[in-house]
Amino acid sequence: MNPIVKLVARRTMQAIPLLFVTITINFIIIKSAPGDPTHVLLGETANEEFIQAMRAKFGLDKPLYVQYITYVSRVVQGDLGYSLLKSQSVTSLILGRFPATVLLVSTSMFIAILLGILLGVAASKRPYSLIDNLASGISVFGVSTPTFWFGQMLLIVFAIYLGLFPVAGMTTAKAELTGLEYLLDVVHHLALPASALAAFHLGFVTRLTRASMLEVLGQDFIVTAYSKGLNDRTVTYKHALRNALLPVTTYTGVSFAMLFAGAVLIETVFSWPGMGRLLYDSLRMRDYPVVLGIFVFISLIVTISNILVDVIYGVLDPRIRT
Amino acid sequence: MSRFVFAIILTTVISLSALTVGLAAAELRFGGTVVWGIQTEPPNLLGAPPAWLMQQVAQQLYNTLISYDFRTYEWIPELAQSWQISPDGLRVSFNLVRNATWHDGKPFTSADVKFTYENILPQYNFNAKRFMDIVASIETPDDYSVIFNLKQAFPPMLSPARAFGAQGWGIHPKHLYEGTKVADNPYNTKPVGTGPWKFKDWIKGDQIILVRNENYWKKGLPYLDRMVFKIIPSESSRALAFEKGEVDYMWGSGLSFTSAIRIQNDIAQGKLPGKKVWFGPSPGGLNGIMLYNLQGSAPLKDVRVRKAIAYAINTDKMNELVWGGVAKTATGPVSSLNSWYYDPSARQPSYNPATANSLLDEAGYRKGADGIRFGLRITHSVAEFFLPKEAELIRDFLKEVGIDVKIVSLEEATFLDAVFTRWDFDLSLYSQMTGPDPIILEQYYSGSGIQHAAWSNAGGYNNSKVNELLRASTVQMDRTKRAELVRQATKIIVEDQPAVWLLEYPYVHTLNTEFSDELQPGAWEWAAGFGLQRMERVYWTKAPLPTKTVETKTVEKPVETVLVPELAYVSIAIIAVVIVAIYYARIRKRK
Repeated sequence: MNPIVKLVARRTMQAIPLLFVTITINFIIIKSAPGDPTHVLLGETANEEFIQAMRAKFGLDKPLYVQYITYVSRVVQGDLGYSLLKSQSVTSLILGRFPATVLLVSTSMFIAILLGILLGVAASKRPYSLIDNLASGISVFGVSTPTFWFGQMLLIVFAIYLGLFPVAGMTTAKAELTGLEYLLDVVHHLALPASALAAFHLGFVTRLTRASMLEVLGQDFIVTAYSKGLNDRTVTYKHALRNALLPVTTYTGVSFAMLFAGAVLIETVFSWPGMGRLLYDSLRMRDYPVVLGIFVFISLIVTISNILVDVIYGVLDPRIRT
Repeated sequence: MSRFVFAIILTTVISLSALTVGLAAAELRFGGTVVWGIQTEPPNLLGAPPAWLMQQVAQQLYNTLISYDFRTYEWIPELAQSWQISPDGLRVSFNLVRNATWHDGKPFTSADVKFTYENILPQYNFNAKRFMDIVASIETPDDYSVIFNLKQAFPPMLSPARAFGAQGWGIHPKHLYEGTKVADNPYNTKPVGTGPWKFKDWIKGDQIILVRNENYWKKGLPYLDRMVFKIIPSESSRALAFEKGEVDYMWGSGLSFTSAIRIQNDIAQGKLPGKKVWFGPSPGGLNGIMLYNLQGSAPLKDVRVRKAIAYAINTDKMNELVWGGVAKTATGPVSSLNSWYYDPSARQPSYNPATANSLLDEAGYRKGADGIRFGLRITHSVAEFFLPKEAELIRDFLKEVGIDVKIVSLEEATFLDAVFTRWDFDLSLYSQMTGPDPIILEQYYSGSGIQHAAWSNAGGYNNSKVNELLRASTVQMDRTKRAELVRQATKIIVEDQPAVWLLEYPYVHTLNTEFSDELQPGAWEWAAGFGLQRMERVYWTKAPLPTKTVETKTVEKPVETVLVPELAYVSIAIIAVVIVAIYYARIRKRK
């Protein structure tokens, strides 16, 4: 059987108990936090009886293990539950917000990887030169700056002072746009949040690429390649970078999950209607089904991205293909 | 002489033209979109839940039986064009409008009112449940008459949000809710009401769009074309969005005090033309309160200690440092804004640290060698910007008189659980509405309010005389007598000092002055948050004046939202294709 297919199958099997453990731990943690969703719905006035009635309606008065069993049995059937605070099924709620986050995260990833690799390669070709120091400076800045602060700085500089980009949301509220105009409007709104989110990973990828490239460029086969008469471009990108990308690929897979975490802050600063903000809001309002649903979703994504990373690794490096 | 006549003619001409310009300015202009910035996305668009943060959108979609005059809180006809209240207050009959229709075209009748009150409101609105408990029956003798028969007199029904109007009392369509479970009904998220605004679209997490109801039963209203509620949870983003013009209007707590002052300064320096930020009174009187847990720490059980702490807190200084002086010192449990039952003579102690010290000594809590008498915790939530600052100030004030205060800063839900469910606190800092009806005082200060419920009497204050007076006031239909009973209760509460009442808080409103409430004065302050009226007569000053042909129908272009998920999935697909392509390219190469 095709080794890649075997790999994917094996990993998928491993993912199932992992998901189960994740759900259990998340369930315990979120239920341990004090408070419940009734206070959000009931506003300023209520008495105990009314609150208890609401709790019973939500199924919150049952003992914990009963709630757990009910929840898990539903998840297994593919039903992530219903959010009473948002009046829709958790699945549709998450799927509704998910694309916005994916858009944000994949754009940031794209920016970070593309720019990071270019910068890292340029820096490694001329170590300790101006461009190397510039790249190092950028990576240190990117890695150490708090994401939400950087986002707000971008807002102030580019959206307020220069007025080039919008401040909040995914689309312009006043206009009713369709088609290409709508697409461009979304891209216009996406520019700043994606850049802010990309900063951290740009820094890391630059650094990683540079270090990895330096190591590879020092190896014998590179000398061979040059002596064969291959031009610089071919050697750098086709031979050296190919090998240097391995740690970057691993890092990218791992950081995918981190990007979702960073997305929470960016989505709040830029009012981007994504899953990260949904998680934060639901956590605050103790909307258990949504919080648990999002955790399940993220576990799924992390698992899938890890599998993808392994596959890509196999594509890039024939040595590890068993 | 002719010069004189000429001057008079000139003046007359000028003033006449000014008059006509003035008249033209107030002339009806149809059109425009107002973008309203809100901080929380409502869970649904039912017109039932009472929390005003949840109701800003829904209030514009539904009508209530009656509306309120902003200044006097007198009833104004809405779905009920006239009414009669029997002298004993046991029978309230409403004569409904004939021409109201639901957004789906069906006619509005008394059956909708009866259904709403019996089946929808009491499920989400605790005040509705309470009201319906004393309603013996609702009669609908014909399609346009509704009669409420009460078991006992309920004077609060005249006040907003207690029975017939304001937030949480929208009338819902029976034909769409009958036979369904209210919680699961799909119309909770694509609502159908009778109101001036119709539901258009809800892009979850981003914005809610309402459009003008072309068939609104109040002919010719509303004036604006669209209302877009933009959801912006971060306060700084709201401030920036307003400055940049992406948001036209925000009500209530949209801006923090610091942002408000900063923007006001920018406006004063001319940097932000066409914008307005102002502080307004809170309907019903929002007060800051520091509640004592009378069932907790021992020193608080002694009234001298409670008074001493009141003497130790300098509310004027707090006003200055935290609010820049725009708040007002509170004197008791009721805000001075509720003038009809506010008692200006019942005042808690004002700042006097010397008296504080001597009272504490007298109570037997001497200062130790380190200057400390005893310790207390002050618990507050981080929901509002001013709470942490006030907590720190209180800690400093109490340090001066030898009380060591530890600050417990909690996230909202945890705070509610700690203070109101578990009663685990010594001092608790939060804000509360003290009106617009005095029945709310029962929830805070009477024995019946001692529940493990949010915003109830968590301190455990229980004075039988106060209980008696407050109870009597809730069944006394005569307004003057009612106010007197409340004032007597207030006097005793102030003497017992179950809390320290800090400041009367203002609300901050922001507005793009292109939008005017000239034809509905006060709409920006009173129609928005508490739903005392609908925003029907606000208009856009830049909208074109109507021409001879009054065809103001705009072609509705659907807001396409499908492209975003498609964009995302396409990008994933491309990445996948690229990977597969590389893989096969390599396989080929191997061969």
